[in-house]
Amino acid sequence: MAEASSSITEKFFLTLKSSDGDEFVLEESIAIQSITIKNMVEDGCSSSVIPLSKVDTETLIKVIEYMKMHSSTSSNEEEIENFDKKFVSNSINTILNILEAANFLDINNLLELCAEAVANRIKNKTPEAVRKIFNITSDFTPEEEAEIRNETPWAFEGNLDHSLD
Amino acid sequence: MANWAELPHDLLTLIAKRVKVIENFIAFSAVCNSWRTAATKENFDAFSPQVPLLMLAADKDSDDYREFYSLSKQNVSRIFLPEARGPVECFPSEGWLCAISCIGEMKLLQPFSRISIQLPSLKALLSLHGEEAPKEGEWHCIDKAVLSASPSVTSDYSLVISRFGEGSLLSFWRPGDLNWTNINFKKFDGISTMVCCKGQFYALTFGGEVWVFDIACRSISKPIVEPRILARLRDDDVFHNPVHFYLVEISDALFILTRFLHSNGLGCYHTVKFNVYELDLTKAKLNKVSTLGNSAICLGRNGASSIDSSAFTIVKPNQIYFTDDGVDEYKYCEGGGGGRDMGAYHLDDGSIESFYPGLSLSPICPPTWVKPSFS
Repeated sequence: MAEASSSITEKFFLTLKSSDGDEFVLEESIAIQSITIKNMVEDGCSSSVIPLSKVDTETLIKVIEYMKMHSSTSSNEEEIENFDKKFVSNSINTILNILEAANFLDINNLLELCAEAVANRIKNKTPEAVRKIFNITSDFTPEEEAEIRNETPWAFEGNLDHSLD
Repeated sequence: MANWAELPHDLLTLIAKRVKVIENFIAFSAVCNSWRTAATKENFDAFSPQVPLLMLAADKDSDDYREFYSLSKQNVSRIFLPEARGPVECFPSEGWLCAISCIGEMKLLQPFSRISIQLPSLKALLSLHGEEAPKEGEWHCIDKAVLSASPSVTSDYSLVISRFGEGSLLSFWRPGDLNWTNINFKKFDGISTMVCCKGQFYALTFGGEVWVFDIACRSISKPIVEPRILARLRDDDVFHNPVHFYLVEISDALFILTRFLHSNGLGCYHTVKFNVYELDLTKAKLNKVSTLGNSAICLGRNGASSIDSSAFTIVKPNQIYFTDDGVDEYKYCEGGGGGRDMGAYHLDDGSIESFYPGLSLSPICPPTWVKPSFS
């Protein structure tokens, strides 16, 4: 009994450093949701600060929020669901940063959450609206553009959502 | 700074795989080159449910195009489809059409890619049962044509044809078969509806018998197909009414829909009501249900299929989107054929609203639902 309680209280902490140089101290059990971090811990790199050169401070804060919510034994399913819902309502640029960070840190659940969020944003949109939302410039030639439309006319014409919500 | 067009290919692929509605997937592929390379056919889930398009009647016999109406976009698109030009009777199944021409040529046709697969002729089918070939332009000798799976996703599929001769006659064809094969099954009360569910064909007779059979894969050159009776339904109030029946699978369970027509006896008819029953095979009875839950149903002459409406904004739950299948009436109808009796039936209050604003008529192939897929 005494042993069990001591193993609960004994926590290991890691220090993560963002590309902006900010440091965040996080419980190891939470941080190892990231397979990249887990591998580093297993390779013995955890005693010092872990530099995350591809993740800026703003993004790292979001990722840590996510990992805390998803590892905490106190958060129930409903809380997690609500958190995820709110999380994906972040701006599309923030989602992009988180998506890339989740890819770099290898956090599969977060990656899938972001991919789903992006897929949801394009529902019922025209390619033009999608380009505006995601700030993409078309690199098709006019001929290619026409050909794409010709292939599947039923998917393009008519009552589509041009809004950028 | 990161940008959406320059996202690594594997991340774009991850996103593309999450796009399950075909129109959205196609829009995704039309954004820019890098997104296009991620949105390949292989990354699209061919099994995900789609809102069917309404294939309209052929405009003129000489038109190389066929029109399709999209419920979600509320517009008509013209698709180059010379294979369906002129008088061709089409039975949609699994996103393909079993098409029969006026001279009795038969093929499986994928309308969006125009891929076609030659079938043995109608003459060969009829001669199996010792019947003469129909005269040119004699339509409606086939009643149902049901695929076990989409030829787009597997080469191991079978096509079962039900037709009226002396009672209902069943035949099948598999890829590589040189001719139709007769199934030893003759029901004088006739098959009212047939559906394929997880590789098993289920057929309901007008008298209330439920039969099941499966067709061995094509590595077995002469399979013996033996339909077994699963249940004799004794719901007299259901089976003594002159109604149209539809077997449909909803969330792994089998349901039977009945459709009631009001006819003035002069070739004018319209749908007034649907009932929905869950099929309880163990007790051989039907349990009437008052709601389809989140499901919606699209149905027509060749059968019915269910869609989970929560995945689509345009399809409303608990509604039945029906097309004209009064073939016995419309084939003799002088007003241009079938196509008037279409609408969305609300199961909760019995009301019917129109989903197609135009009028598209044909005595051979009135408007019918086709699941969209890739070119």
